[in-house]
Formats: sequence, structure tokens, C-alpha cells
Amino acid sequence: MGEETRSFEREVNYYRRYCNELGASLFRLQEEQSQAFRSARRSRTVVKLLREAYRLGDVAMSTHDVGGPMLELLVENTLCDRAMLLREESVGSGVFLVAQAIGIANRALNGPISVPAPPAFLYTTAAQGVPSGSASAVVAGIGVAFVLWAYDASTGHALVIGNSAETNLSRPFEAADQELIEAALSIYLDVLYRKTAEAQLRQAKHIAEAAGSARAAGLAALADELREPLNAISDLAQTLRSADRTGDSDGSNPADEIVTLSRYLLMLVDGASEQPEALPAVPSLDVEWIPVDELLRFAVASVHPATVTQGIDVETVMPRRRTAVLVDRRRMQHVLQYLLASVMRGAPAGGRLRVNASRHSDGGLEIAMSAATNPMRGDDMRPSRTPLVSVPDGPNVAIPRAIAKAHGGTLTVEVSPQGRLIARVVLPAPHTRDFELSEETSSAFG
Amino acid sequence: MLYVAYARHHDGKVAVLSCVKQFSDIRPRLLLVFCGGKLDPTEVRDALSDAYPDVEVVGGSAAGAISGLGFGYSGLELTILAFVDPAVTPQVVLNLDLLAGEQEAGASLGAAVARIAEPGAVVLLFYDSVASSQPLRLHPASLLIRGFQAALGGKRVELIGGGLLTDMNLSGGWVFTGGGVHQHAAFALVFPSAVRAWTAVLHGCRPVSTFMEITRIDGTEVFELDGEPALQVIERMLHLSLGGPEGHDLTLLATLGVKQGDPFAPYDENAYVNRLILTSDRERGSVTLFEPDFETGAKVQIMSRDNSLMLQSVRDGVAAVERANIPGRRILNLYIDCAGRASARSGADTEEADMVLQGLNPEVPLIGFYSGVEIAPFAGYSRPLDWTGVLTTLSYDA
Repeated sequence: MGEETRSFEREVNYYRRYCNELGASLFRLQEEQSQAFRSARRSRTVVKLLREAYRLGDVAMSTHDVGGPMLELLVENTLCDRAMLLREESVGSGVFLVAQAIGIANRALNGPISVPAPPAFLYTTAAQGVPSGSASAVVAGIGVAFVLWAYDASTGHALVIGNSAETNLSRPFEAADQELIEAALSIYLDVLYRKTAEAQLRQAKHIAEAAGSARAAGLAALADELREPLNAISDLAQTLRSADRTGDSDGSNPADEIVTLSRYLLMLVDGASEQPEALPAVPSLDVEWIPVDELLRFAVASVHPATVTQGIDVETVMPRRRTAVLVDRRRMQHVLQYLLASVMRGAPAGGRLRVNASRHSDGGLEIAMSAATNPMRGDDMRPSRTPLVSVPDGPNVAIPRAIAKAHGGTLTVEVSPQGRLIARVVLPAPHTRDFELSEETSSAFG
Repeated sequence: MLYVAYARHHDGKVAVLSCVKQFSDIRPRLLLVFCGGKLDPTEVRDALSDAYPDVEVVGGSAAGAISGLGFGYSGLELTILAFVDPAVTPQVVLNLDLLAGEQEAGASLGAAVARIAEPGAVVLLFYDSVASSQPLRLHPASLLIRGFQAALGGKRVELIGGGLLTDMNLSGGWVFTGGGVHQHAAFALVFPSAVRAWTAVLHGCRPVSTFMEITRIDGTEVFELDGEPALQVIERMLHLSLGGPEGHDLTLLATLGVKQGDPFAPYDENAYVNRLILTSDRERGSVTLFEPDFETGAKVQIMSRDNSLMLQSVRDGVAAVERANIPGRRILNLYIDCAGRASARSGADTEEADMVLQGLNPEVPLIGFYSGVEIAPFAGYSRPLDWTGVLTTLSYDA
């Protein structure tokens, strides 16, 4: 072999070595890059699992249906061969039933899995050798050699995933995987708890609705029964009031009270029969533009006999500009009439009943009815006669308040520091406007 | 003509119902099913039988499924191709004796195909890849194809196909045929002559060594390279340990490639037939390949998967398919994707299946699966391939 040939062979060998070194470097770089990506993928798993699993809570599904999607997420993110959700027959018993499984045919799930003294966390790997104790039981239960297990002793739930091999895809489980498996179990339990609570709420709502319907039906029936006798009482009281203006010993006329209370009861009856399930909500309104002075005139007129007999002076203040309000005439008349009668009832003989209607700067209207309360009439302060004083926020103003609210307004009742009982109805600007004379002539409000 | 449905659910019955719903009121003549390996095949088969009582169902397990509607490899995917039009519906030929001998099974299939196939007919061939999980042994596709081709008796067909797996760890596989679920089975779909195929093979490996000669090999087990123990040579060259401390574990790290044609021609990914190294044996100093089709005296190179090359190959291949002048009407895109190319396995930052899905015309139905082995025409002869994506467009030209 000549010198030239030897030199050529050396050169070829040099380049072969150099080529192989470069190739090996390239190979390792590629493998390192792949491993880095796979590691990053694994480290993202917990975060991804958290994000995706909590979304399960937002999806409409029952508690029974949570396990499957949860295991799907786990399998998709960890690419494990098998996964099982287990539930202890009785908490602490160590006897588990399979609630859900992936990668194992249903027919292969043979009865309960017994894991004596189940630990909160365990994993198996080839480096540990043959599993024993709890690990052995878990391995037998899931049917693959390499498992990752988490158990919540307080609820008796367990989660286990497993692989049949430790390859470069299914890398060996390790202690650091505790975070993954416990997070997954914890999320599952959270979602389960949330779904259970939702189901309980739904059931409670269902029961309440059923009870509400029964109550409403009963109320409607009762209202129908009451309407006729109440109308008769009201008519009779009107007749009595017209016939007897003498009043009783303390100056009040019982017939007036009967009229007022029967009208209020009729209003309740109307509400109960028209929309019983929504009490104290108000039935649909039939609104029209009505001059405020007309409404108040009606209310004041209704208490006029009583004010005369009790010597109560009525002071009425109207807005500077004549004002109309968009209201349901019948219902608003009843509200004002009822409030006025109630306020007046607390007033002492010879006292003053003040009705003040004023416009707010925002265009709304406030109607305030007030009177000093009578400290001497303690025996008359029983709730049936003085509902506003005794129970300002109670059921006695529930319907009037609901009517005011239905008009976009508010109704408040208070006792001022000076002892004045004040009932205040406020209507918003959209329900209030200046009254045009032409409207009166045309009698077409709204 | 063809309809594809796709679903993913942990309950196989629910997945089937979802697919049936997508099919609406079509009346399929044949169903080709790729079913995630974590789904219960019996449940899936029964649900399909309930939905389509008199319709033949073929297919099998898949490490993952691909369709125009989505893809994934959690093992919970299900994708179904429904053949409705008889003009494009293939005939089914099956063999359940793969375990008795792959070459004989291939011959049986080949003879049956030869009787019914028109010359040049498109034939899709599928089989379950895993012959044994402990110890791991695959059904060699090369033997299956050798028997198949020999039995064709000179009749040329366009053979495309793949090996079916339940998962990426090569744990198992099964096949739907003849109304049942079988292992060690293969089936072929023989298309009418009006159906044609246009195939692109998408690669992703590049050589990282000089040529070495196989000096001793027995089937899939390579004992020596250049007269030295093969495992020792490869580990020394790569400075890596293959198959764990015992050398018995699944590796899937490196590949040996044989370059077709002029060995000193410039690098061309299409010139290589690559064989993944499945396992190694430290005591014997050997490595075991996916297929037994390398011979003593073959010049091989160590090949490294290259993710950027893989993704570029997908871009190029999909573009080539889309711009190809394919006669007739495109009726189906079929993507048989090596499971190792999935991001979770390869470490690629992009899912190449997604690139395929995004790059193809959405009006042409797409079905695919993550496979163990791919079969495609290569240098004029259909052969098993490793680490490839086989993208085939079927067209119909009456």
C-alpha cells in the first residue's frame, strides 16, 4: 500500500470519525430537545389539568357524570394506560368500588378492590422492586405494574392511574408526581362537591316551587271565597257610615275603619287571585296618566268622615306645577287610601294629618303622608289597627310596597325622632310629568 | 360518496352514538372504523351493530385517530368512514391466522385479492401489529407483504396500509372483522377500478452516521455491525444507552436506515427505508428492529428523527397532495401516521397531524389513525415503512 493510499485512508477515517461525532451530537441534541419538550409537557400537565378540570364544574352534568370526563382529562394529559376512580364502600374500610375506569373493559372489573390501610399517596416503579402491602393491592386492582395513587381519607375517594411499562413515553412515576395525582383527586372532589351542592339546591328549589304552587292555589281559592263576603261587608259599612255620623265614644266611626280595612282586604284578594304565586308581587298594571291632585283627592275623601269625627285637620300640599303620574289608577288609589287611613289612625283627636306632594329635582314625585302618633292610645296600637306603626316592613305594607315598586317607585314607612309616622311614596321621573290642561279636556292620559 | 365521523368519549357506546348522529340518515354499505385502544372494542362493535344491524364493520384499534373534525391520541378517539355509494365501496378480504405465520397469512390475502381485484386496483391492508407483548414481538409487515405480493401472481395493485395498535407503548392491537373483535388478524379492502390513489410519504429522519455493514443478522435481530456487537457500536457512536440498564426495554430512540439507489448521492429523505430499533439485548449485544427485511451485507446508517425535518416534510407533502393533478373527483384523504411522530412521543412542538388536517382541503373527507407501521408504494414496490406519515388521496373517475 503506497503512502498516498495510506494518507487517503487516514483522511477518510478522519472524516468518518468527524462525521460520526457530528451525527452523534446532532442525535443527542435532537433527543435532548425532545426530552425537554416532553418534560415541559409533563410540568404543564398539572396546570392544564387544573384549568380543564375546573371547567367540568361549569358544564351541565350530574355528579354521576363527572368521573368519566375527569378521567378523560387525566388520561389525555398524562397519556397513561389506565385510570380508575374508586369510592370506599364505607369510609375507612379499605374496600373500594370502582366508580369509573378507563382502559379496562367493564367486564374485567371484578368486584371491590381491597387496599388495607390505604395510604394518602403511593407509586410503584421498577426501581423499587416487587410491590408489597397497599402498593401490591393497588397494582392488582388496576392490573398494571406501575401505578400512581392518591386517597382522600375524609371522603373515601381514591384516584389511581397506571402504566404497563416504563418507556420513554410512559416514564417512571416518581415522588414528585404526588402533586399531579393529588391535585387531580382534589379537583375531582371539588367538582363533585359543587355538583352535589347544585343538585341539592335544584332539589330544594323544586320542592319550594311545588310548595309555592300549592300555597298559591290555596290562596287563589281562598281569595275567590272571600271576595263576595268582603264586598258585602264593604257595602254594608258604606251604608252604616252614611246612616250614622255620630261616631263612637272616642270620636272614631267603626264603619269608616270597616270600609278602609275591607278595601285593603279586597286589594289583597285581587292580588292573590290574579297572581297568587307572586305574592307580594303585583299583578300586571294598567297604567295611565292621572293628575296627582285627583289621586290624593280620592284618598283624602275616603278618610274625610273619620277626620271630621276625630277633629283631625288635613293639610294638603300639592306640587307647584300641576303634576300627572303614570300609574294604575285603581291600585294606586288603594295604596294611597290605605296609607292615609293607617297614618291617620295613629293620630290623636284634634291632631293634624299632613299630605305633601312635591317634585324632586330629578323630576320624580314624592307623596308623604304624616301625622303625630297618639301616645295615649296604647290599647289601640295592636297590629290589626296600626299596621304601619307596629310592623313598618311587615306584610301589611308588602302589597302597597310591591305596587309602588311595580311603578318603578318606592314606599317607605318611618317614625321620625319627633314621633311622627311618615309614609312616603316616591315615583320616578319617567312616571311623572307636568300636567297639561289640554290633557284634562281630552281626558286622554298617557 | 364517503362520510367521516369523529368522536372522543370514555364510553365507547357514547362515542358510537355521537358518530351515528353525525352520519344522520345515511345508509352505509360498509364501515371502516379506527377505535382508540382504551375503548372497549366489544362495546363499540355492539353499539355499531345496534345502529347498523346489517352493515359490515371492519377496522381496529388505533393509538389515536385523525379526521377533519379533530384528532387525538388519548386512546379514547373514534373515527368512522362510511361507504355509501357502491361505486366506491371496496370488497373485504380477511385472514385470522396471522399468528400462524405472517407470510402465509399475506399469501392467503394476496390470493383472495388476486381473484377479485382489477389490475392496478387500490388495496388497503390493515392488521394488528403486536404479536406478543411479553416479550414484545410485532407481526412483521414485511413478511405479510412478501406473502401478499407473491400470491398476487404478477397482478399489480396499489397497496397502502398500516399496523394497528392500542397505544404508543405497543401494548396490543385488535381488528374488527366478520362481526367480531380479533387479534392476529388482517383484512384488505379491494376498491373498484374507478377508484385511484395518489400517495405522498412524509418522512422525518436524517442520517447521523457513516455507512456500516450488517455483518450478522437473524430476522429482526441485528447482532453485528462492521464485525462488532451492534448494540455496542450504536451506543458508542451515540454516547447513549439504549433500552435501559438491562437493555430490554422498549427504546424507539434510534433508527437504522438503508439508502436506496446510489449510496453516495446527495441526501434525499425519500431514498431511505428506515427501521426503528424496538429493543436491545445487552447480553447478546444485539438490537431488534421493527421488521426483518434487512440482510447481511446491507449498508446501514444510524438515523435520527429530526422534528424540524418532519414538520417540513409534512408541509411539503401536504402541499404536493393539494396541488397534484389527480384525475377524477377526490373522495377521501387517508392519513396513516406513525405513532412516534405524535408530539408526546417525538417532542415536536407542533402536532404534525394538525398540520395535515389544516393543510388539506376540508371539503374532501379525511380519516386517519396513529399506526405502528405504515405500508406504501416506495421505489415501485409497496413496503412497510417506519417513522413516516402516509398521505393518500383516493379519487373516483368513472
